[in-house]
Amino acid sequence: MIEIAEPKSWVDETYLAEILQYEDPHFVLVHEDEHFESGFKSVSSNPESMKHPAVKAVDLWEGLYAGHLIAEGVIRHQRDKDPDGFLYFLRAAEQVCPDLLLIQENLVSAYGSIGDFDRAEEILHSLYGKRKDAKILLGLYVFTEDERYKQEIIDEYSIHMFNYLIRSLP
Amino acid sequence: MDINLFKGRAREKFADETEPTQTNPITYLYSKEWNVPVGPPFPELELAEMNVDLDERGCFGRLVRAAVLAENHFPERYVRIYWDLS
Repeated sequence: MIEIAEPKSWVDETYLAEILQYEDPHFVLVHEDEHFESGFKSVSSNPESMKHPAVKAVDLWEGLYAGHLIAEGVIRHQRDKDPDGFLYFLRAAEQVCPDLLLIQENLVSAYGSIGDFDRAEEILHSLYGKRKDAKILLGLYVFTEDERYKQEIIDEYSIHMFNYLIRSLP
Repeated sequence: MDINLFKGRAREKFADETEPTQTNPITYLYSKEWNVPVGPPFPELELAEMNVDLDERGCFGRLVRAAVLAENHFPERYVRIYWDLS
């Protein structure tokens, strides 16, 4: 989406939100060397030939259950305004499936919510460079005030993405 | 909810008695209909609630359905979940 973006795309907030959604880490079902992702069927007439270039294997049900626990945590955070509940579910997910990027990314919000900014920043640094992710860059910019992260967002995306991310901050 | 309860709920929700004609789980899964919504992304809270409900409008619900179908119909095949890093 970044490569095919036209100038008008960068001022379309739905387009920016979609870029960020595609960047979110997600699960893929794999059998031998083939990948299944339902979305592939919408974008290709030969979805069996499509695959993600870099994946990390986790156990089937442990991975899915960790996904469920993350969702429970997000509900505690966003609906119930309960940061301790959020952290509880993320830690439970971490016990089931350690090292999932989605858990780590949510832990940044969770530690930020309880005021443990050092821990949040530490996780952000550990996530930096692992995958293309504008939200990680913004988090690093906010926590460190290092202009290089802001510049990286502008260079990799656009100033509009940077402004959109800033406006989206809680 | 513990992992076994979660598994049981998923298997109950996505039980499908139709025998596949395909011999490969991935080809079989792509032969099924998937409810992939078109339009702006769901807000984070709505998506999390959909995920907990195993709602197929969310990619997580669709993935759990795929896992159940693959496991039910191809129990001898080793299907795993991979975590996308790209």
